[in-house]
Parts: sequence; C-alpha cells; structure tokens
Amino acid sequence: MRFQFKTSYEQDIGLFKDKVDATWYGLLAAVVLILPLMMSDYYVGEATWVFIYAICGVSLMVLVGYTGLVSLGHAAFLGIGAYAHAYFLQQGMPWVVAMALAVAISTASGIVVGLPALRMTGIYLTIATLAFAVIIQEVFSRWESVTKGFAGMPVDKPVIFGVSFQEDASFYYLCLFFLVVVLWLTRNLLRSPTGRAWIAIRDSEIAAQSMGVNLAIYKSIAFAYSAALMGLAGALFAHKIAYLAPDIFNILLSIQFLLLVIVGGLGALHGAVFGAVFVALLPPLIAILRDSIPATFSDVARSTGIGVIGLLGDAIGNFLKKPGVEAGIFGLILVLVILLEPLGMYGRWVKIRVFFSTFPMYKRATFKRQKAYMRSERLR
Amino acid sequence: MSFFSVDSLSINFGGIKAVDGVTFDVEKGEVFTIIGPNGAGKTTIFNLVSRIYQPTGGKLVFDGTDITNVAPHRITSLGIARTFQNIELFEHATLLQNLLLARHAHKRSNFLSELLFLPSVRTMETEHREAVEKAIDFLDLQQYRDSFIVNLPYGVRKVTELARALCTDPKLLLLDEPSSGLNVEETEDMAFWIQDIRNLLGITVLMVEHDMSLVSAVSDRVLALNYGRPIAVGSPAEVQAHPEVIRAYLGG
Repeated sequence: MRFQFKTSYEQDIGLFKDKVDATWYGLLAAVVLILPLMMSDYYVGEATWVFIYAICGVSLMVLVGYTGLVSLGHAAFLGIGAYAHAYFLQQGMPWVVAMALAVAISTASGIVVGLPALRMTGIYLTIATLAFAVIIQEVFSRWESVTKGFAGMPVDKPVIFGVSFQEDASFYYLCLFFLVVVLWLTRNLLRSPTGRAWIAIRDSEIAAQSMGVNLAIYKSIAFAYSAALMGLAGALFAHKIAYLAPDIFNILLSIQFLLLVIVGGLGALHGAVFGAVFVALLPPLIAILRDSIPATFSDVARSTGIGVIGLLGDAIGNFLKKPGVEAGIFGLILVLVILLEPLGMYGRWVKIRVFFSTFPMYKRATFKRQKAYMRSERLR
Repeated sequence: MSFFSVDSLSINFGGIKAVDGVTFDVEKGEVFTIIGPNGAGKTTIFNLVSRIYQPTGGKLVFDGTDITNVAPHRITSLGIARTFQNIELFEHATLLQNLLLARHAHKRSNFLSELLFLPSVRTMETEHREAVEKAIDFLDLQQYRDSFIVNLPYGVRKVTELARALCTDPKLLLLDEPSSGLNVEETEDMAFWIQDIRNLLGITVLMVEHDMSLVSAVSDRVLALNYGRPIAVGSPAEVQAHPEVIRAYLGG
C-alpha cells in the first residue's frame, strides 16, 4: 500500500506527482530511446506510426476529451498540414519554415471551422466538421496546381539544417521528439487556466460562463490548438507515407482518430498515447496473425494428430485474409470498449494501478458503475 | 445610492411575463432573500442578474455600474458570483479544479505563457491555490480536495458550489436555494455559513430560498414574489404575516 505524501502546493502543479512517478516516466523514456537499437527497421517504422498517431490523438483529445466538442473532420486538418508541408518543401523552402507554415495554415483553417462551431452544439457541430472534411478532400483532388490531384505528390525524407533523416531510426527519434514536445505543451495548458476553462466548458457551459470563462474565445482556442497539432502531425505523416494522394484523408481516417481517443480513454492524455498504440499496431498485428495462425495450427495438428485443428487454423487464416476484416475488428473492439470499459484503455490502466497501490486492500466496488440520476450522468 | 439595485426589471418569454416590473434595493452587508411559490420568477431574476437572460425592460445597477448590458462572462470580474439550484459543477474534474476555475476572472497569464508554463504562471497558480485553500478551510472541504465531483454526495456538492462562488472573491453572492435537497443538519450548517459569509467575509448575500426557518434565521429583509410581481417586502416576520403572501401560498 502506497500513498502520496503531499507537502507543498508545487506538487499539484508539477509535471510528475512525486519521485516514484518521475522514475517510471524516466524508465519509459529510456526504453523508448534504446528501442530502435534492438528492433528491425519494420518495427521501428511501426513504432514511428504510433508516435504520429499519438500526436493526432492528443489533438483530438484536446477537442473531444477536454473541451467536449466532437469533430469528425480531423483528417482534413491532417491533410492540410501534410499537403502544405509537402508543397512548401517542393518550393524549396527550408524544412523548419515549411513545417511552421504548415502548422500556421492548419491553425488558421481550425479557426475558420471553429467560428461557426461557436453557435453549434453536439451532433450539429459534428456534422459541420464532417462537411468540412468532405469539402477539403474535394479541394485536395481538384486543386491540381498545388496538390497534383490524384497523380499524387511524392515527399522525400526530411533534411533539417543539413542533417538528413533518411534512416528509419533517425526519423523515429524525430517523431518521438515532436510527440514529447506536444505532450509537454498540452500538459502545460491543461494545468493552467486555459485547460481548466476547456474542462469547464465540457462539463457545464452555463457554469463556466458564470465563472468568467468567455465561451467563444476558449472554444476557438481549443479548435485552433487542436488543428495546429493536427497540422504538425500531418507534416510528419507526409514524410512517413512518402506519397500523398487525396483519398488518404477520407472520412474513415477521421473516424479512426475518433476511435483512437475513445478506445484510449477520453479525458486523459495517457489515453491519446494508449489509443495510438492500439490503432497503429492493430493492422500489423492482424497481418502477423493472418500469416502465423495457419502455420502454428498445422504444426499443432501434425504433432497431436488431430486434423481438425489444422482445418480450423486455415479457416481463421482465410477469414483474416478477407477484405474489410480489419474494419470489422476495429468496430467490434469499439463496441466492446464502450460496453465494458467506457473510460477506455486509460480507465483500465487506472484500475490496475489502483490495484497495486492499494494491495491487498483493493475493492472491486471502488470502480463499480452505478446508476445515477443527476444531471450530467443522464446526459452522458 | 444603494449597493445593488434592480429597477422595474421585466422579461417576457413569448406571452408569459416571467418577471414583471420588479424593483428592489440590496444594501451593502445585508442578507436579502427572495421567496415565492413555484414559478414566481425567482430563479429568472437570478438568471437576469447573472446576464444569462437579456431583460426586456428595466435596469440593473451594481455598485454604481450599470450591468444591464454586460456580457455574462464579465459579471464575475465585477464581483458578482452565483450558485445554481440544480448543481452545475464540473463533474468530471476534481473539487480542487472546480474551485481553481473560479479564479479564472483573476488570471493574469496569456496563452503563450501558459503553453510554456513560465515561472510567472507557476507563481500565479500557487497564489490561486492559496486563495482556494482559504475557501476549503472556511467550508471544511479538506477531505474532498482531490475527489472527483461525480463521486461526492449531494450535500458536499452543494457546499462545493458555495465554495466555488466564494473563490471568485465576490462582493455580492447570489445563492439559488442553498438548502434544497439538504437534510436538517446540513441546512443548519448552511445557515451558519451564510451568516459567516456576511459577518466575517463582509459579502452581501442575495438568496432565493423556500425553507422558511432558514430564511427567518439569516435574512435581514425578504421580498415575496408571485407571478413575476413583487407582493411584499420587509423583515421575515412581516412578510410571513402579510395577507397577500399567505394568499399566494395557500390560495383563497
């Protein structure tokens, strides 16, 4: 049993709760830093996807998880960042300038979408962002002088101040750097008045207003900041995917981002990272299972002499090869998460942590969901 | 010139005159209570004062400033704080975060300094925390400091709302039914706190309340409303004995 011994107000606004907390994060950092030395290029590439998706996750977490504004159009901001970055690079601009411009353009478009959003709530806002995403995708395919339309746009690996990030491992570190910066900046906002104002808007607009929060300004800031992060992620995304085409930034990608934050756990930055691990690693996991299940099962069948196991393995392998299985599995997991663990992977993580920190006094009832009839529970 | 004056305030919702020419003055340092049967327009007056509704007629003057057209989020910085009848706390935040939000009107940081969490922001946050801790001590909420509001019982939430309103450093406190849903002991605590808020913190209180024992215990003056119109004003005893008030409550 461990408890946190607080002796100063500083502890509540620090980045880490205490030394133990900081040690764990230090360990995590060490693992993430030495990981590329121990993995093949394929897995380094997959881990890079996790970082890029995590930045997208933080972006959407700010908007959906903290401010309570649901967006179905975030793939558009990702696309704006990616295309802007690629275009300015093509014009011969230095990498840092192209990146800054991409973030600026994405931020500006975030504000433009955010302005009408001030007058809309709930599902109407979601539909407006969806419309925005559809329009932007159309712009990507039609504005051929900039985006090259469906012919596509190749993007080279980044060269920053003469340093080339050609290697998978070096690009891994670049993305990791940006993720850490994004997490730090977002955490800073969340522990200062802006973050509290977002949370207040999410939980009760009327009370937030009565406590002095200017709803219009803070909703706009949330939209702009979220779009800025998405633009940043878009620039990295462009390098990672190496070839931009309009149909990448479709509605399914937006849904995948929403899935990411819900499965990860709404209302926690950890959730954005957990969700990114899930969304980025599920497709390769399915691919691995598709190849390995029939082989393992037939091995088992041969050694035990039961032929049915081999047939079962083939059946599973064939099923996983079918088109659309991935989307189906995503959907199934989403349904299961909402039914069994509405707080997502982060919620589960909190339970595990509480189990160990209160051991052997853990009570399951601590997290028992109960029917409540107060205002917000009815609405949520 | 009185501290807070409401002058022939009216609002119509369609054809319904929810508040119809209400005039009253609140003096500095008094506890002024509005009573009336359900639907009399008590909460509507609060919503008009906190600028959630725009009045169709009349004038609100607070401490020499006309606040009839001030934006709702500007009201707090002028020194008016309120609680809500059906608790409007930020439920998926901790009690501490709820109270810290009430310091929003006193923030001196801008977006960039917060993004980088500069030392100035850190100092400001610590100052806000000290202000919040005073309210926590005042209302005995220490043990709930880090609890999420969803996990707190109703009575504690009610006190938390009061604490949140106090954290804005108000000059005028609007309490919308502070005792609704509370048991006898909690109502008694509430009565003591309202007195302390007036006597120790020097905050003027304007309150809407149904519990007549609480009203008589703490109010200096009472205004009775019916169908959006004032029917009596005076000391608690006078208003309770007023024939119009008795008719409004009992019919006849």
